This record gives sequence, structure tokens and C-alpha cells, in this order.
Amino acid sequence: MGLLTDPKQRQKIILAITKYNQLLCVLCYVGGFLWFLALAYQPLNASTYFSENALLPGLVDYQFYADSDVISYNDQLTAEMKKSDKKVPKDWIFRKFQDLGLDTYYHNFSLNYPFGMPKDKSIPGQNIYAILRAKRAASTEAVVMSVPLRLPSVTSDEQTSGGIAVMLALAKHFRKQTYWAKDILFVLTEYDEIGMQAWLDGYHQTRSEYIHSENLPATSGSIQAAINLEIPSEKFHSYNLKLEGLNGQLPNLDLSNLLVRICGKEQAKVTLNKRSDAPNLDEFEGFQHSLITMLHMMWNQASGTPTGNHGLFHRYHIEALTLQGVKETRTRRSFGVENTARLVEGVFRSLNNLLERFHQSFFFYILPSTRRYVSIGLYMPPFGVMIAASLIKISF
Amino acid sequence: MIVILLIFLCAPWLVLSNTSEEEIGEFFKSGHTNNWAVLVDTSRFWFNYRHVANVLSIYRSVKRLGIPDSHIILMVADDMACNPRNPRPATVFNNANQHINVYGDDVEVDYRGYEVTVENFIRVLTGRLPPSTPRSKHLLSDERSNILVYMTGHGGDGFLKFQDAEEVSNVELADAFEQMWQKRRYHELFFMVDTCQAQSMFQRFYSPNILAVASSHVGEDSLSHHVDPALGVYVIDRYTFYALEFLEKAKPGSKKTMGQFLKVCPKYQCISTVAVRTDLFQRDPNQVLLTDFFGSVRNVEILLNTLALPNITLTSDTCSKSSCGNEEVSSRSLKYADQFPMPV
Repeated sequence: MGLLTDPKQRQKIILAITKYNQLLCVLCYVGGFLWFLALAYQPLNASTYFSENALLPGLVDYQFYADSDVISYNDQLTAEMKKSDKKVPKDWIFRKFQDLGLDTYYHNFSLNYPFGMPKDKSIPGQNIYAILRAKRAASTEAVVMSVPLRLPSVTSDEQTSGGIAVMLALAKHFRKQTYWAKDILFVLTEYDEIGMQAWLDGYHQTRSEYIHSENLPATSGSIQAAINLEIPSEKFHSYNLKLEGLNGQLPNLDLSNLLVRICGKEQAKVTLNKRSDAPNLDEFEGFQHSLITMLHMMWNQASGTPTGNHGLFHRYHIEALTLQGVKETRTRRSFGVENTARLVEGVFRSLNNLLERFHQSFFFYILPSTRRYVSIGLYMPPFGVMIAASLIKISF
Repeated sequence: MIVILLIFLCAPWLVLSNTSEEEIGEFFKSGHTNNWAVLVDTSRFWFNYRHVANVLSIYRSVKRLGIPDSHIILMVADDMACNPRNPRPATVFNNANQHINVYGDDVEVDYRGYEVTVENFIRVLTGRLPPSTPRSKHLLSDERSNILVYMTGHGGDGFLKFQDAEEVSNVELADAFEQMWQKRRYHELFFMVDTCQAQSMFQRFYSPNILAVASSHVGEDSLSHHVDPALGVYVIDRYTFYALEFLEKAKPGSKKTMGQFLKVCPKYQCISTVAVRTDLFQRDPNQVLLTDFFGSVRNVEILLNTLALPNITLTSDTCSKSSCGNEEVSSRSLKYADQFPMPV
């Protein structure tokens, strides 16, 4: 008879497991844990690739040559922000978008902060957003470019005004083109994630518990993807990709691959959790480096808080990530708003080619480096083995 | 002396009659009297721009070599020219230097968009279209028509994908061609296919007078040629690119042969191996003119003498009213069967 159907054999197995219960549990747990850590080792994980054929990433030449535009917007905005330390120059930004000819709107919302002193007091907030309608397409789909509005008094690491300049210059450039198949929404949110959630609530007409947002005066089609920019106004040295969203949800891997590919085309350094790829991935040092990158990503996911505004889009099945400009001390090659503008233009040209929402590539993965991934099919078995340890404990 | 003069006078007559017989022989050598072309692009979406460019380029070549629009059935599955993603609206280019707009002002697409389905394709080939179909959508070929069938898109081992939702299998295609043969809808057929694993599409053919060429063997992928960085898409496939290079040098009176055409795109150019099927074809491809399939060459010969053509029409089976008036003439009137079985 078979091993599992023969009662005598089964009894033997049960006896064996009961006898070595403790040992098996420890072995399973430790074995599973080590197996999981080993997944960061290059031969054990896979190289990233594009699943969505429609993206055609980086195939089209850049057409953004208005570097002077973006630099001048950047300088003007920096000057405006110097005028007042406590206020974001919203009116100036609103007027600039309106001057470009886009439909620009204010969006008001209020927050009932449940903790702390101002109980039962609602804090008002205001977002600005502008819609660039595609000239030759029905406004059935849209892509979002968003920037969190931060006070001029924040540290220069947290400053996002460069992103606003990029947005304005790209809006000016995009408006002249005829090849958009989707509307482009430029969103500037106050209070970071709260404003973003308020805007999304207003757009999709959902309700949040503590955020009351009015309905948006004008909307577009269904949003396919969103890129959040946190670019400072001064020169920086690398682009940090932030993927982790609310409750640890991640955007589609194709979106991350797209950003990495376009950054590669611009020869810009891309980092994940501010750690760049190790050059020697198949040696122990490279393995260690990748392992720590992987664990950082899991740590961020485990906290459940989104690492940027992009994290709030995931609940609406909108793939989003944040591109952050990071200053480093030891690197010499620097990038500025003009490089970012070119990069974002390439990303949007590629997103324009999309026909459907991102659905081809992975939604559950962890990244040991920008070009390698560990899919759920690879990291679930070690977890299964670790959980088997507790199963053995409770059942035998 | 007079005899010599007579001989001199008669000699041209002798020579002429010989050459006129040869000329008659030459005149009726190819056996076909009209040309048709069925050009099919089966894929839609912006990233399949190159398939539309492929089929439109062949359309332009075929038109340039003489086949009129009334004899071309052009099936294009998506509108690339008016796609919102097209940075050059109303144009389709097949080359990165964007010299030739293969879409142009005078393109006549017979089946467009969602009309390009397997059902419509087979109906066009076999002629089983409802009577209400416009005349331009019918393949009105007869037993003396040479037909060029060109198909491009995404394919696999034994099938060709139509528009993301359906596919035509090689067995179905072979049966459609056999139906055409039995209904006397073609004299000779040239089948060209540019997809991945294209050879599988003609492996099942069993009807006579078919010459077939495919851009890749089974197990190989057909590759695209180059990208147009201004548009951001691949604009043409390798096999079609080199085939067009060959066709561009041909003119309506060209003496290039099909044998030369079948050798186009060797492996170092195409990277995939071009597959050819000649066993069903009665003539030697090296003796067949390119314009027998790609062009519509009207043979016009001006002769100064009258020719006595052999009587090939009537035989002794027929009789006139006087000679067989006593035979019973069948009173049942004959008519053709309905091509499209309508409910009674």
C-alpha cells in the first residue's frame, strides 16, 4: 500500500514526527528562514523583464529640449518660496498653470484630526490640479503626475519644488503635442498623503473616515498610472524609487522596470531605498548588499504606511510610484530638473502606449536590486516551510 | 530568276507565319488573364504598427506594378494613421527616414478594423459572401486569375492570430484554398506570409498551382527590421523590407522571375530562414515572371497579319436546332447553386 494510505506506515510517520517534534520545528523554521535569505543571491532569483509588450520603453527619442524653460520655472519658484516661509505659493502655481492654457482647479478638503489638541476642529486644506486634455482621443483614460506641496521651511532634502518646475515645463511641452492618447492630470497636494487621499476621494467619489473632500469640479477618465515626483530644486545625484504603498501594496513590476530602463537611458543612477545596485552581485559582498536592500523593502512594507503619495493610488488599482531626487556626498555626476524633465517625458511617452491597465507583470515581489526580482512564487515556499514549523507544533 | 524572286517574296511570309505561331505561343504562355491580390494585416494596436506598414507597402508595390484597386482586397485590422498615438497623423511610414507615406490619399481599404475576422477572410477567399456585400469586398476571380495572397501579423506553429481574439489554422487555410480550386476561383496562387513560424501556414496545402513563401521556418521567429525613433515603434519587418527592396527595382515590364523573388532575404539578412514551397506549382518558378503575380500586365501585341487560331470551343457534342431537332431538350432549367445558403 502507499506510504500515506497504509495505516501502519502512517502510524510510523506520526510516531517519527512526534518523537522529533522539537527538532523538526526548529529545523523547519531555521531552514525556511535561511532559504528566504538566500533568495537575495543572484543565481537564485530572476532578472527583470518587460511583460507588457505595448510599453515599448525608451524606443522613442526625447523631444523635450526646453531645458531653459524648466530652469527658469525652477528659479522663479525658488524666488517665490523665499518670500514667505510659512506658506506655499499656491496662487502663483495656479496662475502659471492657467497661463499655459490648462483647465486648472482648486480642490478644497478638510481633515478631522482625531488625535491631539485640536479635537473636533477641522483643518482645511487645498489641492491644485490641472487637466491636459488629449487632442485626438476621447478622455476615457488618464495618467497622473503629482507633486506634494511642502512648506518652504522644510529641509532641503525634503524639498519638492523642483518637481513643480518639472511639471510646469512638461505641461508646456506636452500641450503642444498631438500624440497623447490619454489625458494628463497634474496634481499638487497639500499635507502630502492627506491631500492625495482627499483628491483621490473626490475623483473616485469614495469617502474616507477623517478626510472630507468636496467633489472635484472636473475629472477625466480612469487613471492608468501615476508618477509622483519629489525632486528638490538644487542639483542631486541619484534617483530613488519608492514603491511601497499603503498596507505594503506594491505597483506592478512593469512600472518599476520602466522607470529603471528610462533612467538607464538617461544614464542616471537609480536606487531602491537609497541603496544602489551592488556591482558584484554573484559574490558574497553583492549578496549581502542585495539582502539588505531586500530587507529594507520588506521593512517598509511591514510598517503599512506608504513611503510616498503614490501609496494611496494602489487601492484604486492604479499603479503608482515615487521618483525622489537624492543628494549624495561622494558622487560627482549630478542631475537637475532638466534631466528629470527628459526622464519623465520618456516615461509618459511610454505610458501613452498602454492599452490596458498594467496587468501582465507581477504585483507581489521583493527587489534585491533594480534589475533582479523575487516573485511571490519564489518567496512563498520558504514562508510555507516556516509556517509548517508551527503546524507541526500544534498538530503533533 | 522569277523563281528566285518568288522565293524572296514568299520568304518573309514563311518567316512571318513561323514567328506569329511563336508569338501566339508566347502570348498564351502564362495562362492567366487577370490578376488579383488579397492583402491581409491581422494585428491591431499601436505596437503592431509594423504589420500595417508591411501590408500597405505590399499594397503600394502591387498597385504600382499595375493591379488596380478594384482587383485588390486590402484588409487592415487597425487604423494606425488616425491612432491618437501617431505623431504624424494620417501617415504610415515603412522606413525610418519617412520618405514614403504608404498610407497616402488614395489608399482603399476594403476590410477595416473589426471587419478583419477569420470568417470574413475565409468568405472572401471562397466567395461565400451575402449578396448584399458591396462589390469592392468580393474577390471576383475566375479560373484564369492569378491571385497573390499576402498575410502578416502574429503567428505561431500552425496558426495566425487575428486581432487578439481568434486565429486561423493552417488546416482551415488549406481547405479554403482547396475550395477555391474546386470552384475554379484561381489559375495560380502565390501565398506570402510574414509572421513568426510562418512555414507552418503552408505546410498543409494540397491544392495544385500554389506557390508559397514564408519568412521563417517552424521554430523560428520573424524579426522586425528597425525602429523609427521619431515615432517610437518598429516600422517594418525584415522579410518584407528585403522583399520590398526587390520589388522596388521592378517595373511593369520587368523580366524578373519568381525564382529570383523566392531567393530574396538570405539568412544573413533575415536572420530567420525563408521557407519556400514549390511542389504544388506546375511551372518552374525560374520561368515565371514576377509580374504574373505582383503586377497586372496586359498583353498587347500588334500584328500586321491575320492569324488563324485553332478552333477550341465547340465539339461534336453540341448540335444546332436543325441537326438534332428530334432530340428531346431537357425542360428543366439549370441554374447555379446559391453560394450563400439563404433560408427558404
